[in-house]
Amino acid sequence: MGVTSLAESLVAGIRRLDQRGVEEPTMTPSELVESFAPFVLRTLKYHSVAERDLDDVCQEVFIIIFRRLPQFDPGRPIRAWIYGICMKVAAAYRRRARHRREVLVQEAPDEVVSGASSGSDVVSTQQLVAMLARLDEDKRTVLILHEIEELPMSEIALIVDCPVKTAYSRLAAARKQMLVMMSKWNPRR
Amino acid sequence: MEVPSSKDEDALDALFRKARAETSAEHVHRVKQRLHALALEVETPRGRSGSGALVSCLVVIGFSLLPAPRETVVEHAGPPPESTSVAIAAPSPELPHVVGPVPVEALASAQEVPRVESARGVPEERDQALRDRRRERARAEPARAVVAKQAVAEESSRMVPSTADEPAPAPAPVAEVVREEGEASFLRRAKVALATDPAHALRITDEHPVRYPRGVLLQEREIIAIEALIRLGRAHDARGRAASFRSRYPASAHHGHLDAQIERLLDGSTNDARR
Repeated sequence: MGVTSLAESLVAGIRRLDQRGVEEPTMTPSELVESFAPFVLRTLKYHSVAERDLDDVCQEVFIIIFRRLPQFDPGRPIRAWIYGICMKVAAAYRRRARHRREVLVQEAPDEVVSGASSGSDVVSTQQLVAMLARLDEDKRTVLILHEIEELPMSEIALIVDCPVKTAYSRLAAARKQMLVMMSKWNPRR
Repeated sequence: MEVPSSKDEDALDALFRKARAETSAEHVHRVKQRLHALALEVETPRGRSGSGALVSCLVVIGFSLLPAPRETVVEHAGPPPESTSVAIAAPSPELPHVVGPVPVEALASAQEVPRVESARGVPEERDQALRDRRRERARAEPARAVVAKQAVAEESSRMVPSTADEPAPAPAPVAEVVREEGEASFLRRAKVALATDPAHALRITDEHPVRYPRGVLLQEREIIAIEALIRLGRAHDARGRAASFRSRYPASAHHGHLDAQIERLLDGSTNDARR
């Protein structure tokens, strides 16, 4: 039977995952969402999807996941696959947003709260979003996956499709750039 | 240029730590709630490998190809098959949100969907909180609640009648920023309008390709449009559109179901006309 509807895709896809024993032996759609929604939400957020649109865009991502599960190669890491979908959807979202002339990410704040001055309670993820938006995509991806998602470098290299060594150097460069931004916006003089 | 200090390093690490801890369970549940209306009624059976059950549970996708509207669920669905079990098995810890008007239809037309309780429970209080919230929404939308209740009552007295539609989106901060409505929620409005104002439902489906030129819920849109045509008494148009649906989606597993529903509804409308 051909696969055409969302439900068919979803069930067929999950069945394939089950057969391969990928992730959990039997995963319900709910569990699939539960397992990956936090990842998807964070990924979208730190790729400049505005907070107010997060739910919509996240839903879009899962619709695509459900639709395409049957084509997913279970031999690949599912997180990498989902990440790729997130990136595409986020990029499309940013294009749409540009058409609407919205400001998605507020301009980098004049002063970045530093741990030294106010402690981690006050640090704002908005500032993080603003700083991340200034990195180029390659570096941003590696930094987010390493620092926020805490994925092993080998998996990150798979996701961004580059050698592990390159991933490490992107990480170092990204961190350096972030630190420069912090010190520039928060001079202690 | 400023030279980064170890304090900046600490601050940066603090930002990352905060980001890691940020996604709330509440937010994840909101996402689940939205998706529930689309597809999460479809639960794969645990510990079952037979594909027959899986194939039959395809029919249960809440949002998609279930043409029976809420009222006709009660009238036409007839006695549910013995095997009907679906997601009505008590307030499930796994799927605490049975969302919107859609599941009601899903329940009535489900052939067989094994519903398996998850080993992973949701804490009691969260479940309770969700039920409370649903009740609040039910109060806000009494009419819909009543319809849902009628349809569900026959199925299970244990089911909490759900009226939990999407929470209203937060108002956009700037007037000119018209927030783009999600495709699913857009079509859900059409689905809801079917019973009361099929012409409006049809208009929404006509607008769909314009608003979502790269939309993914095309089959869902077609089904709603076909049903709207039937309800408007435009049987000829409905048949034509159903035929083009069949030729466009020849592999859809829902054809049989769709045909039966269309025939039934058309018969119904013809009988009505005769009366």
